[in-house]
Amino acid sequence: MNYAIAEELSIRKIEDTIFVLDRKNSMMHTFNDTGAFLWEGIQQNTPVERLCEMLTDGFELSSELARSDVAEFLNNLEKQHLISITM
Amino acid sequence: MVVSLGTLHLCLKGIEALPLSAELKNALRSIDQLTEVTEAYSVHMCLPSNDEFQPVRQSTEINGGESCDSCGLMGAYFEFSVDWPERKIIAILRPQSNDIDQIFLKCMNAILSLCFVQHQGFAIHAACVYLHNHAVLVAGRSGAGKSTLAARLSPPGQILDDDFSIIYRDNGRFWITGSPFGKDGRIHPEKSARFPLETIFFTRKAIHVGSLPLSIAQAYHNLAQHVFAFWALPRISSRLLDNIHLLCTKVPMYILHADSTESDCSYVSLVFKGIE
Repeated sequence: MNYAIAEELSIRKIEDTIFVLDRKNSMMHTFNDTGAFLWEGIQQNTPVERLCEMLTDGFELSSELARSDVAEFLNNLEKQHLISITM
Repeated sequence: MVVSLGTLHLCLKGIEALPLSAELKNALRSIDQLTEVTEAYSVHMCLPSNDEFQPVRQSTEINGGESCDSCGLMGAYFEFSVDWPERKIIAILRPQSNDIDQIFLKCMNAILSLCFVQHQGFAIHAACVYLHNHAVLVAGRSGAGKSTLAARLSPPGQILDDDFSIIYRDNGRFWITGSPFGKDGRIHPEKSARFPLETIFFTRKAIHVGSLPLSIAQAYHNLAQHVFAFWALPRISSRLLDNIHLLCTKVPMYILHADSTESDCSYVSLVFKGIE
């Protein structure tokens, strides 16, 4: 699975929160610390498997739960048109 | 015809042809010192039939208002385009509106807020109340009671505007001013007075009165929802985000729990704490 970040975004990190402004839809999305952790990985083009490992290590999750959380997060980002996923 | 707002030059081309009331036209002709904007822009306003201002590089719609019956544009009955590199702002009034004066003044407010982006500022949907030459802002969602709350703060405070305020930075601090272009379709020069901005409150209806300080990230989250935004324009939206962040680091912000319809007015002292 690969993904690409949408073009019309303005991104700011303030304290531990990431704010993503979707200029096309005038929508502001906010990510908490876990979401910010994953989003920064996505910005660096980190492979999905590595995102799962990072979440497992960083937040002491089981690998199954980490995979499920990453998949859900990516799906939500795609639904909000912040990323596009290609299989 | 060129009308000067300080050094903001409004080129009201063909103003005589615009379907504005005679009263508003006279008021516009008399404008000469309403703001302290220091960047020069040229603003052209014309009717749709005028093709002179067709080439534009970016466009957006104005926030607020209803959709146009004829063209379906959300936001207002006018088109609003910005040629950023040329600093040219183009507004095309659509004559279908029944109250073109108000539409025209809404458009002027949008132009005004755009100009203040250059001054580390922006316009915000919030009531401004001042006391002893210091101002606080009361922001809230539509129906949250900010206008009612602002009215309950006066006296001891005085209301500069109950809905639309402009924040900008000058001499190292943030100031608040109102817009002279009123939603009542009239021009109010007295609203262009400015006051140092002390605090911003975001209202929440609650049984018990209280205030909750916001972290910078929380303040940013709340503030961004009330900014009169031009998110579709990349360079402007980027500056807006930076301006909002800067403000959040300089001005304290709180959630204000209050029921403005009840007799408990202890929130008045909370709001003016540090000013009185």
